[in-house]
Amino acid sequence: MDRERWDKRSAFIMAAIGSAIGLGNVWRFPYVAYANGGGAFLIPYIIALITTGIPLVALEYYLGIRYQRGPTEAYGFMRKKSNYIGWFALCVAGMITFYYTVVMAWTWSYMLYSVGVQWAGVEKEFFFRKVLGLSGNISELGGLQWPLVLGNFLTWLAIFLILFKGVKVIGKVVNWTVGLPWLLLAILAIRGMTLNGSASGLDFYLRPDFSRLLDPNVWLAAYGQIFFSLSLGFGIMIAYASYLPRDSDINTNAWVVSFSDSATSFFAGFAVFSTLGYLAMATNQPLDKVVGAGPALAFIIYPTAIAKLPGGVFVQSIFGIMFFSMLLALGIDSAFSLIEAVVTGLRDSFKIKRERALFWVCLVGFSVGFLYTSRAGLFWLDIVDHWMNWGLVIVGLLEAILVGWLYEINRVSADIDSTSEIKLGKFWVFCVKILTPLVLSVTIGLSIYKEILNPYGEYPTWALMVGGWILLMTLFFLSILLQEREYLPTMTNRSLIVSGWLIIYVGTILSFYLFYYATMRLWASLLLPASIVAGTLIINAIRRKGLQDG
Amino acid sequence: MAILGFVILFGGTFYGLLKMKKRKSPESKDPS
Repeated sequence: MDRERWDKRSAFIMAAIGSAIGLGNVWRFPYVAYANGGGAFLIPYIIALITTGIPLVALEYYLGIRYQRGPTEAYGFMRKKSNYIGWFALCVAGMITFYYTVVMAWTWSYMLYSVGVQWAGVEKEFFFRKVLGLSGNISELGGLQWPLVLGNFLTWLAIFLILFKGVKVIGKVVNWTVGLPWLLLAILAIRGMTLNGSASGLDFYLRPDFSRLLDPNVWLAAYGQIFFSLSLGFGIMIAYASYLPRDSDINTNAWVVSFSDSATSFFAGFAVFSTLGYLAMATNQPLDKVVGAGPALAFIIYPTAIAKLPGGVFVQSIFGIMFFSMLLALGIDSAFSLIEAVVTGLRDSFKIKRERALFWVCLVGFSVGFLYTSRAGLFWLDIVDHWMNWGLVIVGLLEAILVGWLYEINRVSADIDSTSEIKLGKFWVFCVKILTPLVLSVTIGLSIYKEILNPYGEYPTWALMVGGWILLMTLFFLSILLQEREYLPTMTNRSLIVSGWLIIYVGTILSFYLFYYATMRLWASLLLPASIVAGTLIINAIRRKGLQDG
Repeated sequence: MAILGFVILFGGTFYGLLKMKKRKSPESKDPS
């Protein structure tokens, strides 16, 4: 069967840009820049864009274009028994989408509440009490917030309808979901910059503090921002590129997508900080008291500024609707690109129809959303989000090691350059083989160190284990089982092999518990290698026996 | 820094777009 194709190159480019540009461009980049040296942050940021962003995007395009398959198969084609990287990427992508759609459900609600600016004067209470109905603690689920369930349903319905007919429809939809946010962002930026106090806001955003460039954390923040913003590690870029012909231009596509994503982030900072400058002036507070990031920026701080815009309730309502429409459009193409990656992976690996794979993924996604639309939803979302970000970095590291150290990277480089207008040559080899693994290893190491010093959030241990370590390890082992499913049915003593995997799985989780939360680090340090060695010995012994019997 | 940021990031995007135009792209054909 012929593989689906994008209608034209621009459709692919727009879809990839739409996937990369998401909520993070508006609610994360401006704050990260402000907190890490202001204008001076642009230096490490642009260096990170050129040395990690573009090379890794090019690598993921290469995998899709070269093997004409989604992530689950492409890694396996490159090197036998590497499919688990693709499966893990898809598991993480799925898990992230399951709560990302709920954030979009908040946005649907806020679009309605924009009529009459219903949050005016009580922004914080409005978000936590009325919209989220937040309970006292994480174990108190306290029933569902039905408007959010409805918003989540609408989001999944939109994803289903957009992906149902494949990439040709995606190519048409992204013209709107990319074009509209750009237009609205421009309107919000122009309005923001014409408000009183905007200059001081922009000064806060861009005033360079070059001394911060000596701080390694600033450089890691720049690399982290690039990595998370470009939709890397999800398998999205592999899936989208797998619908391009084999002789497609890889580097130029990667260049355009990566630069336009960063340019959008930079521009979004003008819309955000000019308005924050106005808010600081209108509320007579210093700017650092009104600055924020993430959901707090989108659902509390920015709405506060909207409620204080001159022109009365009508004008404020219009700007509220514009802002939340922009967030919806920004989010929807990122959400459906994540699900497209999962659907492409399932289709390629299980040889099932798009419609069938899509239906089940949407149904599971909507069902998992009940947890996040409960009154403890925000707590669970926060924990899962924290650990899934680790998952992405692990995928990025594994893919860089696979291509850089376990495969003929020079051949890949020559292949990529042979069809590309922009040549990256040895520079690309250095970035993928040396620089990216180094940066991502340091990032993971530092995250582990921070976790040891200070466990994430003020959550009970069982919740951190369930929503964090157990979930992450379960996804990883599920990925290995999905890879091994091809070999398992042909083996004798299958149950013993699975027992070997279970020993490693349980031993690893128990080690994490002892290490992080029971502070029995010596026991944890013994248990982890012991369970890995024991499990591996059992698996290999059974395999050898199976081979001899065979 | 603002001007420099604009020049590099938007300049980079347009440079890529120019390179795209220069190449008669095979992606524009639909082999199916």
